[in-house]
Amino acid sequence: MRKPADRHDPRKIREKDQGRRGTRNTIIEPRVDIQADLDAINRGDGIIDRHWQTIWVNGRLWGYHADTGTIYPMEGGGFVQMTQLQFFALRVLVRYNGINPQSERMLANNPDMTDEDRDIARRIWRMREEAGN
Amino acid sequence: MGLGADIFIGSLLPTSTLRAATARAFSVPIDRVVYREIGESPWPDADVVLDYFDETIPGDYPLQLLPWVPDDRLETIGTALAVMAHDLGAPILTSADSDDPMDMELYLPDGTMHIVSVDQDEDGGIRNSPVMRALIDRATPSVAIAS
Repeated sequence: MRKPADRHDPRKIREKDQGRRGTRNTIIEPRVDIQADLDAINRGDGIIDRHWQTIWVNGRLWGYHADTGTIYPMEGGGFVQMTQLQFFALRVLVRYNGINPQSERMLANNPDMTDEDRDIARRIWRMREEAGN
Repeated sequence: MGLGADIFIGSLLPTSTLRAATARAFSVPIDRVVYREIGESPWPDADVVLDYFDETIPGDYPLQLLPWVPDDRLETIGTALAVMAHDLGAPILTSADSDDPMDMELYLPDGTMHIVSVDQDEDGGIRNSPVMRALIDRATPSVAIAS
């Protein structure tokens, strides 16, 4: 199996990374040791469901592409499932390079965005900063 | 007004054409459709807002839009995208209702929708896979798709 795409890594999210429907914009917190999960999977320690193409390992459920072997996060410890609006808020922070008057103005201008949406995006942004990006 | 998933349009089109197709797709007057660069403020008085990025996206889908639509249309946005693809004569991609981040819905000018497996490349662009190219060629025989 191979590592997940960059869009799930808060340090590598780009403004143009597409938002997906529902809560399927899943971010992997930097504290998750992805390589350890991959190693465990490749050792055969994961519980594989070949029908649904999922692997349960170390308290996390990963999906995988049978053709490429690329895994993607689904649910479990260290995975944050963001709504489209929350993910959009995070993209705004990426656009304006952080929590600053410009990004806050744009987030405040949006009539649909709740304080919770903004808070979740800011939390992920801080993770990105703390992880050194 | 709710946020739909990003849509990727397989052609660069004039703003007036996009606004007209969007108005028809969502059954709203054309003057209630606002097309604006993402980040512009304040929030516009409109029924549908299409936020665009201030640069052309590389790959086969040069337009990436963020559609803000009436809440009661969010569930049926697929129907609207099918109408838009038909009106615009261009394929439209958006994420599928699936856990797999590579599953996308491809709307074609002939009104059909297909689930395809594709991803944004490192440059943010999306390239047609051979399967997608065949589907597009079949739906738009008069249009030459860049390979």
